[in-house]
Amino acid sequence: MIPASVLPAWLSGTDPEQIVVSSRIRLARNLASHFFPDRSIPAERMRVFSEISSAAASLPAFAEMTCCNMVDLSAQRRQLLLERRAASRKLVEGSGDRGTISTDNAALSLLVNEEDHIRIQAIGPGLCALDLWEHADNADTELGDKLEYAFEPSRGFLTSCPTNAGTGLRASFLMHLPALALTGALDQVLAGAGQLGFAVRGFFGEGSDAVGHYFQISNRAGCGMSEDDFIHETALLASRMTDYERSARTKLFNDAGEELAEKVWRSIGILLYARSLTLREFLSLSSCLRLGVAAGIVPDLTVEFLNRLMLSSFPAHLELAAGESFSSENADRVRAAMISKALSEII
Amino acid sequence: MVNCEECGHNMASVHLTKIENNEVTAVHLCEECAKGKGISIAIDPEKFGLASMPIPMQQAIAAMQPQAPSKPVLVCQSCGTNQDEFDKTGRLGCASCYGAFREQIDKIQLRFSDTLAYKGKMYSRGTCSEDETFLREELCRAVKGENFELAASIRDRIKRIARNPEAN
Ligand SMILES: [Zn+2]
Ligand SMILES: [Zn+2]
Repeated sequence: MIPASVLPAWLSGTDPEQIVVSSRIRLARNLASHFFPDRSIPAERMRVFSEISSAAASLPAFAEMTCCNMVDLSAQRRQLLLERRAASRKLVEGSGDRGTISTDNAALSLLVNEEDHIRIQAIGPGLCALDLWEHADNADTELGDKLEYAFEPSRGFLTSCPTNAGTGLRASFLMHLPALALTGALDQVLAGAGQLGFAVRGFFGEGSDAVGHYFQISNRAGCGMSEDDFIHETALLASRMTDYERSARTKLFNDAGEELAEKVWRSIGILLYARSLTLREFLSLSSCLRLGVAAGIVPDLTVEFLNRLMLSSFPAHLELAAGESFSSENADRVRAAMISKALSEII
Repeated sequence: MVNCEECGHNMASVHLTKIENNEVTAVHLCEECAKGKGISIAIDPEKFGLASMPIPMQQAIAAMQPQAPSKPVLVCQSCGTNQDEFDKTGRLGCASCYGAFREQIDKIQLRFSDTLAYKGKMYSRGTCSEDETFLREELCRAVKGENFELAASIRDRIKRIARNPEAN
């Protein structure tokens, strides 16, 4: 299993409750003198990439960062960046010169030639959006001095998708809401978030579905409010959802403590003895374990352990640890063996 | 990438369309074998006259089709993104698209926000225009590589800069 020292920043939280798993701030920017990536010709993408990477290389904020062009990476390495959330699915699956400039723990990354020329993203554990905004804002200001952004005073920063234009900001929170799901109140809470004008997505963002009771909530609009207001509003929603989840947990622990303990221990039984586990199965079983940690049902289990286990279960991390690539059936067997071994050492 | 159909080992860089007995077949040859067959492919972009580059036949025919006379079709004069493309993808091609599709963009933004006012951080640096020298170099490269579709699109961009220096 992967050691705690290589966990990405967003998985470094240790709070046993972990309802807000992580926060993320993203800023979309484009260079004034080039067409947006999807419209630009291959040589132009290459040029944009080199303009941005040399600007970043000259700035102190990016001194510790590594630049990766997706073109130079194996499919496994690209998948690895996606699993660490240093890259997006569009970046990984796209074509042409595109990549990431990122710290080792993916706390701050530049995504280059994704939907926009630049996406600055800061990710951290728990509810920490204002700190992240400060990091992203500083990086953006420094970078904007070196480059020429597409910007109109009346419209703000111009982006490939008009819904992002303005601040180019998206504040998002990865929420873990198992008790709301188990008590049947989840649909109502998520629908409420949608009605208030927020977007709700699955674990890996756009286009991914709800697995393991993880959801990402984020603001939709880019204009009409300041960055601070967007962040405050979205963080307010995240803390309101935290309150709902918290009271659902209390209700669950009080009214159905025995059933919950049974469910948690049965999940541990499967994780210990299954010979083959898909990622999806693992995520939904470990969702139950997380709830068990919050309820103090399994004293030896910690959030840190579960975070390491989660990252180690992702396909590219699994392959990297084994030093070979697997078919999906083989991956399911290797995953089950790794999980069984790690769990049996602590339980 | 295709290998040459004649020698089988070199990379094919000459792609021809052969019409025989009303049958259309594609022929892929390497430079050497093409020369051997007496097909001249030397193109000197200096002498070639970029502006007179032949437009692929299909595009020429498409251009002659009468346009549907309904509403006027919006096109960004800078990047060439048209109304259809924007409707289909929801994505803009360049900063100037914000001028070309202003009304539609306003409507989209008002779906998620009560106001169009920008209240975020300010930014001041001059904007600069498309780099024509760079585009001309790329045009030469595209022509040399016989990538005519790409060449045609780059040529359109250069033409737009000439026609419309303010749009950038
Ligand atoms: Zn040949
Ligand atoms: Zn445009």
